[in-house]
This record gives sequence, structure tokens and C-alpha cells, in this order.
Amino acid sequence: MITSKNVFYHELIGLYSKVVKSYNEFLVGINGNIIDERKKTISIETEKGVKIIPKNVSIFHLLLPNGEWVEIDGKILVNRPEDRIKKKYKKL
Amino acid sequence: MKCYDLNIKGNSYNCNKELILEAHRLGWDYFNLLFSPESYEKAIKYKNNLRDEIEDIIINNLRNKIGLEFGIEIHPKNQNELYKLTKKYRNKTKFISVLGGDLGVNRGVCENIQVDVLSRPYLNLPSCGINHVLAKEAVKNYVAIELCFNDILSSYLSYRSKIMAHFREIIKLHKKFKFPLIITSGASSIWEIRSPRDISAIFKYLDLFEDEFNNTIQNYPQKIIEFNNERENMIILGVKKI
Repeated sequence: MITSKNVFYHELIGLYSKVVKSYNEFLVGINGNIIDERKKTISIETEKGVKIIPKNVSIFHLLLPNGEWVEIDGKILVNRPEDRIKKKYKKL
Repeated sequence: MKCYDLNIKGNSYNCNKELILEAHRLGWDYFNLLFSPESYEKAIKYKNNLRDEIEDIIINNLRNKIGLEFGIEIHPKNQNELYKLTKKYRNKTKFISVLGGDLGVNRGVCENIQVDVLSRPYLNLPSCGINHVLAKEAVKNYVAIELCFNDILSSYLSYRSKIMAHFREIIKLHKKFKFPLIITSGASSIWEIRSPRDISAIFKYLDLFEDEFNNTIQNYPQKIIEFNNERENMIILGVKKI
């Protein structure tokens, strides 16, 4: 089950997301369900079609199935989803 | 400008009150009292009373409200002890400072994201205690290096000149690698407190220019405090609950 504690290890496809900050101002505000994920990009299905967002320049808000919102820096997600599970992160 | 002093030695209730009032008179706005882990639990009980009493006294002052926080200062002997103590006290307090003075401990602190400040890395060492490797690690893990003004005040002759040389070396590294550097008074009595302008005058002589000095007493401490306030909601660096 996806929770805020394991979201950065988890598969992101299907989650509702919103770009809240980005080096590219035109990406800010794009929201919708994530329909695909690659090593460096995320595809979001919006009302105007599918948008491809680069991960390493953006900050996302993700809505988890339990109703929790999580802010996540795209730099952490830069990896293939199947490789992300092996990665080690420092605890705060 | 708001001036932050992140290292004032905590003592008894009355002594702390005198220290804070005197520091506030001299121009400081935020005070972080550091206690040993044993005395911290006693001190945290009277924190709110102390804050209320001080605010009552300075209520007529037109300057900003004071900030008051209590923290823990750790003196580990080696790296293993450092990891144990930081794990133990991280959830109990908002601010952890580690006393340096050993190359192994200095390295351990710079690599540890759970520590906020490496205090006095030059203590009892022939060198300044920081090198290019530690500087890079400190930037990565956002560990601030602390220069304690009380070391200059309380030393004399060649010891003082050596400490000043260490300060100059650390400032040189700070300019190159941009790790967070903070300057504190380290005062344990009212006679050891100096105003920010006095400290600025000394550090100008040590090649720290005005804007860099402002960063050391305002911007870097402010960022550390903001980061620590959000630490509860953070899961790892870059992921937080909203």
C-alpha cells in the first residue's frame, strides 16, 4: 500500500499529481493522473492531452490513495521505477 | 536585520534570563540555549515560563519579538558514540550541536544529516579541523560549521593568534565551497556577550565581508531553524507531508 513513508520507492502510475514548482514556468500548474513513468520524465494525463514533465526540474504534489498529500522533489524520483526500490536514502 | 545567536550556554533559570536580556539589549533577536543532554530535560520544563517572563519585561521595546529555543550540545568521543547519541536525541529536541575537536568526529558530523551544527571543529587541533573533503560533505548534508567568538575572547597571546588563523582558514574554505557558516557568541555569562557590530568588526579583519557576515548571523541560522521546524513532516530530504 502506498503511504507517505514509501511513496518514493513506489510505482507512481495512477496517482493524481500536480506540478507546483519548476525551472520551466510553463509546467507549473499542470495536474492530472500519472499514466506513464520513465527514467527522467513523467507523463501526466490532463484535459488538454498528455503532458511529459521532466523530473529533475520539478516539484510535485501527489495525492495518495489514503487521502494524504505529499510534496516530493523530482530529483529523488530520477531513476527507473524498478531501480528506485534498490536505492538507499538517508533518514532525517 | 534580525541577529541569531545559536550558541549561548544554558545555566540556571535566573542566569539564563539575565543572559538573554543582556544579549537582547546589545542587539540580538534570537537565542538558542544549549544544554548537556542530562540538564536538557530539566531545562525544557521552564522554557515557556522563561519566554513569557522575558516578553513581559521587554514588551515596551519597539524591536521584533525575541525567539527562544533550547537545544542539546553533545560531546562524543568517537564516531560510534556520535551516531548513537544523535539517534537518541534527534526526536527529543529541535537543535543538536556537536562539539568537534577530533578529525574522526568532525568527519562523522559532516556526513550526518541528523546533526545541525558542528561546533568549534578546530578545538585542541593543530589545524582548523576542516578540509576540502569535509567542506563538500557539509554542503551536501547541510551541516553548519560554527565559529565561537568566545574562543577569541577567552584566549591570549599565541593561542589567540592560532585560533584566529584557524578562523581565517575556515573562512577561506567557506568562500570556496559555500558550506553554511555560523558565528556565535558562546557566552556563559553576561560579560562574554558582545554586540553583533563588535563581532562584525573582528571578523572583517579575518576577511569576512559585511554581506557574508550578515549571512552567518542571519540567513544560515534562519534556514537551519526553518528546516528543523519542518523536520517532523519530512520523511527523507525532498519528501514531506503537507
